[in-house]
Amino acid sequence: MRRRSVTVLTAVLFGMAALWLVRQPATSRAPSSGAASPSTPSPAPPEPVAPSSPVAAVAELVLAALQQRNMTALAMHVHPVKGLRFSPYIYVDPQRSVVLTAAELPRALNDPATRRWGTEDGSGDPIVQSFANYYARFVYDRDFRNATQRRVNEFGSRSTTRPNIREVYPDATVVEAHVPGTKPESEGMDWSSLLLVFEQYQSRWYLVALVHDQWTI
Amino acid sequence: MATIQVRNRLRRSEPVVGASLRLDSQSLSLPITATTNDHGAATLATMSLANSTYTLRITPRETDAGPVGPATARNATTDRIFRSLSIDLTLSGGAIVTATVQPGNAANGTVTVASGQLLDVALQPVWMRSPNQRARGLEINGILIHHTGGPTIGGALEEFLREGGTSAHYVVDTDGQTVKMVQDSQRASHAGIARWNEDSNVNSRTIGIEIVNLTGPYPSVQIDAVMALLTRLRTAFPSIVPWNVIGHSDVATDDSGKLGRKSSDPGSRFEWVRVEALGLGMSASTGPIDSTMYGGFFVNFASESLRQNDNDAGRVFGGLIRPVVSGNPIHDLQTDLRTIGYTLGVVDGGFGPKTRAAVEMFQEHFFAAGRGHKDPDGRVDRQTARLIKAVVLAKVTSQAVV
Repeated sequence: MRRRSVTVLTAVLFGMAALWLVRQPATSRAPSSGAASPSTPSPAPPEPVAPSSPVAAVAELVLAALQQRNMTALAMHVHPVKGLRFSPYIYVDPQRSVVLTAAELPRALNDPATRRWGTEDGSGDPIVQSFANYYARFVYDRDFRNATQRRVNEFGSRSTTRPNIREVYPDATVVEAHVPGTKPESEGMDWSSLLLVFEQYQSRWYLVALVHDQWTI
Repeated sequence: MATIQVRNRLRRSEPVVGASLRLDSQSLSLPITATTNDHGAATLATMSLANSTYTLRITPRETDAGPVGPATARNATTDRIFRSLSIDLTLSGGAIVTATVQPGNAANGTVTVASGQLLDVALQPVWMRSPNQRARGLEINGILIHHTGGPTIGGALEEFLREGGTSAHYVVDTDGQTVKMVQDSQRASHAGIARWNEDSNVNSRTIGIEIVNLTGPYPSVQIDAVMALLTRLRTAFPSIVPWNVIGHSDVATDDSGKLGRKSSDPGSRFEWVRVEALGLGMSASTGPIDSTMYGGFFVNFASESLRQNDNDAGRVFGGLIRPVVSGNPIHDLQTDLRTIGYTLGVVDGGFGPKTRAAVEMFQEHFFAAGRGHKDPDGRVDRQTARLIKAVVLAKVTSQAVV
């Protein structure tokens, strides 16, 4: 109970920090280059992280690394013991989703090997893709770094898929970057979210999962 | 000249190409006709027409006046079928002054006078082919009901039209209008990974109905439309087992076979009692239930609940070791849930997460629309236990067992 209370208090404080960060213009943090694409600029050197950095600040660095497709920078934030889990939908399947270690990440975008990342909603077909293809569809499919909506530990269901992050990671702090729908004909249902799941390890926040969310049937 | 712009009512950016227009009145010796071009536009020579009231009949290239159901687009080779629409027009000086949909045509489309020279017509589609379909390979034996989790139909249609996206056979709008998107003979992509009655071929076996609903009660006109569709489907496909008219949340599992990937689908406000009144869906027997069910647990502990981590081997029931409870109540519970059709993995006498998820989904179904006394919590209290037994009894005694 004490640990949970501390986590909640921490999350509240860091949630306030996240809201502050959201209000800062994107240009004050880094150049915006939109969602991941072949024209994305060359990866920048990894930014150092102070051990005392609040989770919101670490989330910003993670989003910057994701936007820049800088897997070396991303690897610095990956949990040293648990690695980084990738979930295509907000219902996390701890038995079948892919977990990569920090050491595997720097070469992942150039690795043509395919993995089974989960199961397609709707068709039920396996999601078998290279890391780069999975990344484009289920990790950074929108410009989440410049997402206008951020939430910390408030990841309620946005569709019929049940969020179970709290069951899989009961002590995690979750930062959600949400991009609302843009196509008029989709009437808002083409939204997309990326949830960054953090856990503390040796007094530092580490990323344990990247959970994608979108409207599905 | 008057331009008539004809669009898809549910996808305004989409023109209706090749629609025939016929302007007629008693004062005309011959009707004036035109056909919409690739932009859905057609012009009518109205400048020399007398000031009067006219009838404008718009007939799409492919049209269907019947109720949306199994007969709709059964052999369609086109991607769209629309309703036809009749409009009363008033002209003055060759300009359109008023335009109203004729009585009895209100469900077929809308009309707006954009200007004296421009009429905007939107036709109701009944068939919008989704690319997300394939051969079934198996006989239909059920119907799966979903809700969109969104307030309007547009987003669902766009998703179902997107190559590589999901799909459902039918989408029922809040006003009861229904659009068919996948032929019944084809397999739609709606169930995802799912299991019912130990069968994981849910997409291949079922027809998917998507109901537009974000939250809250379903409008009666929409529920009426769903019930009418269910009736038509059941009539057209005798292979549909009434028991197998169920919700997405009843069947959606993860890769390990644990239920609960989908919840509130179609949700706590869906009126399953209306489905049951049609003789479809799961039901509960009104016959007597043995009060000594589940090893007499509820006789001895009426206000307690069987719950996660209970197990027969350790004699743990309701979270405590209770030697007075006889038999193997968790094994019985698991067997009952499985008999109903729910998935929970191995029947092993241990109330694990899969059993809890199955109980929760059972409660979500049978406690919906105010029938239950509590929110689904995965705990088997006396009311839940009695209901499980009653549903098992209904299934076992019915002839509608798979």
